[in-house]
Amino acid sequence: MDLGVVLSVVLLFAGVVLVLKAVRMVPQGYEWTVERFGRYTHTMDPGLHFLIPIVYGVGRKINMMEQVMDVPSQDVITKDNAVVKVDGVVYFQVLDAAKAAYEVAQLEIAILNLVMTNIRTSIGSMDLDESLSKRDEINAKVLVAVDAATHPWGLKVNRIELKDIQPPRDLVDSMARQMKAEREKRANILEAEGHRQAEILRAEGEKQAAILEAEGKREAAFREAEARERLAEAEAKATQLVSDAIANGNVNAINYFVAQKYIEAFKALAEAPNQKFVMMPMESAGVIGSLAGIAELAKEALDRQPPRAVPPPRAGG
Amino acid sequence: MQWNWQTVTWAVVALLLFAAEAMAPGAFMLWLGFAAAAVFVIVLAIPGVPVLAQVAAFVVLSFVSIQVYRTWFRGREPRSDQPALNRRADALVGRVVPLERAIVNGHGRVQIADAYWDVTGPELPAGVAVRIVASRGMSLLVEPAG
Repeated sequence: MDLGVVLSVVLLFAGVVLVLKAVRMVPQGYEWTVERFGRYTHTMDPGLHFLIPIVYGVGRKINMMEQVMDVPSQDVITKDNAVVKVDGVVYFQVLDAAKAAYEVAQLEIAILNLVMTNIRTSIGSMDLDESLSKRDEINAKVLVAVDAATHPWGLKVNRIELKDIQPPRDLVDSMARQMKAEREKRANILEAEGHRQAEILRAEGEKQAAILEAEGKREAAFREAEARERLAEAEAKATQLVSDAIANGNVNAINYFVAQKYIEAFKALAEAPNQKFVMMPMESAGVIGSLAGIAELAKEALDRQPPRAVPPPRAGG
Repeated sequence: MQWNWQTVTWAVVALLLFAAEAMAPGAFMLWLGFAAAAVFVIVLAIPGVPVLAQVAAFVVLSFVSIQVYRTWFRGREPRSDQPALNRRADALVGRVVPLERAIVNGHGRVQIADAYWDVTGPELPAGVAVRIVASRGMSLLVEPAG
């Protein structure tokens, strides 16, 4: 009875262990390799699987999801001997579980070392400025190389990105200084250009002003001359008209006008505030004569008689 | 009908195993549960079976239940609606992409979303659009599109 109980317990234990080993459930995202007495036979994809216990066993459990790995920071020397700190990130995925399980030991270390050495190689072939500005080129170069190298391990390397390329502190400072100097140079050049342009514009303006002034003067002179000509013409015409009138009419008409002016002049003299001393012309009698002429004119106008010639008064006073 | 320690024990074991399976899905306690339930039925129907025989029956029935599942229920598992999950190469089948490097001696290269894939197919110059027809492990099988 005791023996029976012991046997039952052992049997129960063995049975449970065997069932545990026979039924395997592979979760989604993983693939498990199967070994028959330690030798690889096939790969189990996600889902429920039954293995003959003892004979078959699970070998490696391979993650089939895309994985991200940080590439630790390392010092790299560029072509122009600048030491830069470079770190990055790798995205890779296992496509062939069996190869990843058995073709390479310590897969992640293998990938990391490949990536690091390839980064060194591609940055070492560029100078600092290039390596700072052509990251995508470096990424592509490293990716192609690493992808080809990891092929035998059943891997697909999808992306390799450089996260940070850090030149040493003093180099960064001098780069900043260089940039500042560049900008200052540009600012100075622009300022000088501005001054030059402004000077040219000002001179242009002055030139234009002078030209316009001269043109104005010339125009004014022309017009003045024209005015004088017109005035002369008008005077000539007036004289012509007067002399025509004299030729055709009575000389006493002239006398009338002269007398009028004469009297007006006297009036002006009389009203002048400074002096009341009037110098009369020698022939002041002439004025009286012209007055007589006016009387004569009036008479003629009334009598319609031919006028008598009266000598014109002398201009004076 | 015999209600005694043995029958009650097998019933409790069966229920506990089912509960444990529901709590921590590992898909292995289920079969033990079925076996325990079957042994419970046996000891209920046939009294006086020795304990060793009961345990042996339990172990054997566990494997029988596994075999029953494998034989009759295996094909009835619902298919995944995304069969290409975690299978990057299979997921690319049917895509049309330009050939990045000419296929020489049966090997060329295409670029799909940052990654470069080796392709095998007929000799084609670079730049030609190719359709991916199948995946061969690490490389893709292509044919000229159109």
